[in-house]
This record gives sequence, C-alpha cells and structure tokens, in this order.
Amino acid sequence: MKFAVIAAIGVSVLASSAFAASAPAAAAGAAAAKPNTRTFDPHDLAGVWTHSSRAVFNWSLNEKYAAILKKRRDDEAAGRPLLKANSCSPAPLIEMMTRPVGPLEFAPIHDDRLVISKSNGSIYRVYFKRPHPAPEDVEPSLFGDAVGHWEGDTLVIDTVGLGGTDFTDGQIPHSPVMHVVQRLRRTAFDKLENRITVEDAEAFTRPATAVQIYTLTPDEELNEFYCTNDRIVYDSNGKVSIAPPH
Amino acid sequence: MKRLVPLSAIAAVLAMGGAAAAHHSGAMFDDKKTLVFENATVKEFQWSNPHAWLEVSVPTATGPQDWSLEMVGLGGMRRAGWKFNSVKPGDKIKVTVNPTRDGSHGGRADLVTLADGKVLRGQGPVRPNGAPAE
Repeated sequence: MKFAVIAAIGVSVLASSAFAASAPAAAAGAAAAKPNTRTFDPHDLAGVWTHSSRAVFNWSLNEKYAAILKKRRDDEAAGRPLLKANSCSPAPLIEMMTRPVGPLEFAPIHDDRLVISKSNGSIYRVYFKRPHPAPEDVEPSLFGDAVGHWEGDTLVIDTVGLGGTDFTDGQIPHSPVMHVVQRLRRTAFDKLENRITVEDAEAFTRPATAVQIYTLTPDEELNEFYCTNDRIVYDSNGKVSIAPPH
Repeated sequence: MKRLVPLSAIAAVLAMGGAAAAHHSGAMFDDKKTLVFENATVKEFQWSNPHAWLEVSVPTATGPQDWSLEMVGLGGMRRAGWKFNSVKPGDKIKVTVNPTRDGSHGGRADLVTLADGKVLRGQGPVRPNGAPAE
C-alpha cells in the first residue's frame, strides 16, 4: 500500500511593535465576548487562570546572542533540537507565564507570598515581605528570586537570578542577568492582564515587552504531569529519535 | 563576502506555537510531509506524559509495518477530547502522520479517525486563532 503524501507549508509570524498581544482572530473573539461585569477585589488574584492567547515579544538580540539563536534554529532544522529544551523539565519563567499549554494556579499564602504553579512542575514563588538579596547572594535558578508589591491595583513582580537555564520561551537565548518585571492587573472578574518587560544588558539591545491575557477558569483542575514514559532520546551528537515502546 | 542581513540588532521570528519549547520539540518530524494510514491497527495506546503514544501496525505491500506515533501530553489530549480508553488494541483507525526525518517508522500523529468515525486531534485542540494548542 502506498502512503498518501501531502505537501504542507510552514508559516512564520514576525513580531513587530512593542506590547504586541495575541493574534488578531483571538483578539476579535475576545472583544466579541460579553464582558463579565461581576464585581471583584482587584487584589484577589487567587484561582486558576488560563492563557487566552500567547504573548508575542519584540525580542532584539545583540550580535553575540543573535548568533546563538541562529545556531539553535539551524540545529533544530537539522534534527538536533536544543538539548536543554527537555520535555520533562518544568517550563522556565517566561514560557510558564506566556505559553498557552495548561493553566496557571495562583495560590496566595496570607499576605506573605503568592505561589503560581502549572501542571508541568513549574512552581514560582513571589515574596511580599522582603527585598531581593544582595546581587552577589542571589542564587541562579530556574525561576529566580521574585519579590512583589502592589501599586494601586497592579501587582508588580520583579524577578532576578534567572540563571537556571539560558532560553526564554523555547529558543531565545538570555544571560544570567536577565531581569523580568511583570505587572499584573485584574481588569475584570474573569480577566487578568500581565504586562511583561524583559531586560538583559548582556544579550538584548533594548528591553522586550509583551502583554499576556488570562481568563479565569475556576472549574479547571490541574492534572499531574510526571514523565513516566519519556521516549525521546538524544544521542551524543544531539540527534533525537524515538525509543522503542518496550 | 557581503553580509546581506546585519546581525547587530535582529528581531527574532517565532513560528506560531512551533518553536522548540521546554516540553515539546518537533525537530525530528518533517512538517512538510504527511502520510495517511488508512487502515492501521492499534497495537497499544500509551496514555502517558510527556507524550501519549499510539503504536500501530500499518499494512503495506511488503507486509505490516509497526509505527510509533507521538501525540501531545495528557493535558492537551484531554482538551482535544481524548480519554485513556479512546482506543484499544485491535481497533482499526485512520491517522495522518508527519513522519520522522530519518526515515524510521515514527511520526507525529495529527488527525485520528477512530473506529466509530469520531475524529480527534493528536496534537491537541485547535485554538480560536487557528494555531494548535501545543
């Protein structure tokens, strides 16, 4: 039997302006939906929030880091994906907050901290009652050190120490000095806006920005995500293949 | 050699939902090629993370071939309407596949037509803007 073969064409999307949001169709859909006029406490972010779209950043890399990105893409095209993009590692911060794969659970603990988690093992803790440690004492980690404070109805989360990995939302490289500021504001009962600014003096020519919108999905239950059957195998050259079923 | 595109400041281009990511790299699959398995027999349905897998036997002129077909993680599977018991060994299904680049009997399952005619997506639900969820 001959297999039917169908040609397909991939499409790339170019990010342009600052604070670029979701695709036009998604935005139009959101605009057409009836707004939820239920009253709410703007300081109450507790609940399960699902990405309504995917934020598009206006990355601008310097020459050194643009070369790193090019190599990553060339390797990907050659069947050698970024090794550190392990399918069983939690998504790092920017990917966690902007990639629409599974909802986020916001769980405040009194007025001391906010724990944001995702099914894939990402757990991000924001502390309200202390500042960042001195720069030399910030331990590099996947989610860094995050502190938050309220400016009116906007929760400002400042994160440093993001040296646990060197890619943002999949491939974009960054340095350990990357600094992320998120400004979260509940704009309606069921809408949460996150205006994200990413700075990196060693990798970017200017800050990158994006807006991510989440919708409250109170009935959503996060499922576990433990890699009990990881069949993607990398050889010593970074070439990827599928392990046999047993 | 004259460089056509300066590297000093580059705005990165991201394919919608297609860039390699922490939990779903599709680099091994050929997105420009689609195979259609009209009468595949399910050998095993692995309901697991980071990916669900369909093990199928595909009839060919030279005899049956065993194929390993990757699907998305269970979150995406559930949102696309799959359940852990949506298929069982022995079921006859139709499936469209992006095969591996290296020619091995593996691929990424896209549309799966179940024995009862129901069609489910192996790569998660389609988002309102047309891009796949995962």
